[in-house]
Amino acid sequence: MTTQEVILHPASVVAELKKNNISHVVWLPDSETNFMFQLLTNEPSLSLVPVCREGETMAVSAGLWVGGKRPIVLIQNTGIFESGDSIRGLGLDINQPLVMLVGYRGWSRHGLTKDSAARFIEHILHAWGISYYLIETDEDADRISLAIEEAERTSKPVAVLVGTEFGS
Amino acid sequence: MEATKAVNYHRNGALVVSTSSALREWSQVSERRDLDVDMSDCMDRAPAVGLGLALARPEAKVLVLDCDSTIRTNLGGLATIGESSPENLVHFVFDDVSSVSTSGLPIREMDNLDLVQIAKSSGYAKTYEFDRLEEFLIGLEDVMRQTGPVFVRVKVFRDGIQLPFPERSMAEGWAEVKESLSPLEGAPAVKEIRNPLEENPAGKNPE
Repeated sequence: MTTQEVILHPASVVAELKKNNISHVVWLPDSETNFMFQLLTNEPSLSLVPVCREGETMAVSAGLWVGGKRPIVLIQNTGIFESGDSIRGLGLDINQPLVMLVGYRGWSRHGLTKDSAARFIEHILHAWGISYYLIETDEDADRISLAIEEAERTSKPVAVLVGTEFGS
Repeated sequence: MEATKAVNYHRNGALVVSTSSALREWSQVSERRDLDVDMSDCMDRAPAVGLGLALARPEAKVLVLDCDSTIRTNLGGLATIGESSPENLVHFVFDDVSSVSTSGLPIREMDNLDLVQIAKSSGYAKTYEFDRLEEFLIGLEDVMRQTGPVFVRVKVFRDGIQLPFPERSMAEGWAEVKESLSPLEGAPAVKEIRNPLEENPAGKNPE
């Protein structure tokens, strides 16, 4: 029996963003998302917009979108709980095709986790009627493109849950 | 209302994000509703929306019309703006001494908050504070000339009459603004929302 290496490299994520002409990454710098920082900073086609609190990411993204840009949000699942009102009012209610890359803290392939952030996140997305895709490896990265396509087709927020540790 | 009218007078085709009581007034006086982003919901997010709009449209001036009761719920938003430091953003906060937006309930801690100092230390390039309408009317021209982000606290007294929110929904309003800005992808229409002072600093007749 072989062990499958479950690694997602930041370069795979950035490649998907570039492929879809994403203009801005609106994010809360934290331990779950800092893996992307260097790569994003070095990518001239992407502008990074840091915020102080996750609920601001949807609002900044909404302003960018109404101004004609193609932003994406990068936060962790704990931030989704904090952002409930913004997702409702500035995502769902104004028909923003908002794609949220969400670090799936506590994710376990075995289905058992002590982390309530992991236990509740999918239920919360279901409650809002927000579709989501799970990515764990480089092979899954093209689901980011699927999420972007769905968000634009439906004019609704779509989440991409990043359920893995990142490779360098 | 007089302060809001003054902003409208100096607007010069700027994009405007307004919220709470400021939106109630602004929707009555604005002459370019197609460039107005209304925040009748998620009212504390007006500065963040303004930031996004300012980053998306660096060639345009973006005005945020905020209120004391909304900014206090998200003071961190000042630091978020300071970090990105958009030069084209002017953030007005109408500090309602009569507390109309909270139905007369005073927000006591606002007396202890020095919003101008918080904005300064958050990275705003320039700050102003106006306690009298006359000072505001005189100073507004200078405010609009500054390189941002600019923070402007304006003390206002409201007469207790709560104006209605605009009839159009947020989704309808945002769609209208988005459509108005779409032609700006091409060069010809961009001029319409540029700050004429920046385009023609010497005030010369382009003809």
